[in-house]
Amino acid sequence: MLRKIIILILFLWLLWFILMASFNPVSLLVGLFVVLLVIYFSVYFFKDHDKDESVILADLNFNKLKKFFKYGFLSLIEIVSANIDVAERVLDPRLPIKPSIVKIKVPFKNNSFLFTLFVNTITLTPGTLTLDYEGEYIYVHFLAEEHIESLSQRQLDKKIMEIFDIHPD
Amino acid sequence: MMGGIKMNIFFLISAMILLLNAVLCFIRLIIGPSILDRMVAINIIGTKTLIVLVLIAYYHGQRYYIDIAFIYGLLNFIITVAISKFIQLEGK
Amino acid sequence: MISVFANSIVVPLILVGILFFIVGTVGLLRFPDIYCRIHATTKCDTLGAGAILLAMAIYEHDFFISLKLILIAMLIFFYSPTIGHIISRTAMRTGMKPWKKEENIVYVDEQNSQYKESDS
Repeated sequence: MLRKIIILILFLWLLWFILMASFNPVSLLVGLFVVLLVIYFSVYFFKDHDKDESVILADLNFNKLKKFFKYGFLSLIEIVSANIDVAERVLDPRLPIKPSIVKIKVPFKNNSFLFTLFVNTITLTPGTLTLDYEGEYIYVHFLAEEHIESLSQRQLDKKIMEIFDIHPD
Repeated sequence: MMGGIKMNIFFLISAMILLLNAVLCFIRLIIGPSILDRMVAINIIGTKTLIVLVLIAYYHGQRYYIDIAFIYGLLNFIITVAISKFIQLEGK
Repeated sequence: MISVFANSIVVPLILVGILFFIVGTVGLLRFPDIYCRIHATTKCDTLGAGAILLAMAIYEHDFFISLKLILIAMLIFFYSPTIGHIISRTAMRTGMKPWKKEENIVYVDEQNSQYKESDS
């Protein structure tokens, strides 16, 4: 708990430096004061998350940073292909869409961080949009029929498991 | 030096095109059948305004516009969350 | 020399961003129901804003300001899918029916009745 708060303080202080872009001592002290104020008001939100593995900030190291870059690269590819797909459909005068809603099971039941990451990645893949969740199921809106097959062919859950070293059990 | 001036005009023209885009989004904001359609339109207009602020910052050479753009993005997110929460609490 | 090299990256990136913003606007105006509109706006906003902010980060000489621009790009990268998800979840929970291709003629009446319900 204390370790998490200290890492959060350092992280927010770094953010303050990026936004201020100056290193004189007055700015440094004001930044520390503001960061402590923010922590004081928001400590309520992660008090109960002590046993949750999903708070990734707790042990930030170089290896984990590398994983985040890998994830960023994966989602960048997905975004570009999704945009090209949407652009083709929007600019086509016949408007070739056939929407449908499908219920999908998510493998990350216990890890809320990876659950969120997976759902966000689904929203950014071509022709898919996450609507709602219900336990370990999510409702996904598909823009056309062929996207249902392409989502299962992409195997995003396996890729995210590989990136973050989670084994299904 | 010449390149700098040309880039300035390029930024201005791109900002104008984006503003024209935002005006087109106002059509959806006015005719949109439900509140949520209007929220989508407001959201996309907000993102465009953010980008226009960044481009105008480079046209004028005033870099503090970028901070305003940052706050605009944060507000854009909070507005959407608040209105969605309100609509869900109110029922239909 | 360096600035010419930088500009040859900056200009295409901004043009790509504007193109995808236009695609997002056209999608917002053309698509028949709210879920499809969210499809268009979420994806096109993310790539368009990301491309233009990356271009400005390359154009900027000051390291801190270009870091700030990257920060805004990451903010948009995370909040754009979240906003799409929030709005579509609200639409689903308030009972908006998704558009079906077969019921193309019924759709107009349905939309009008929804308009009256949601605005009254």
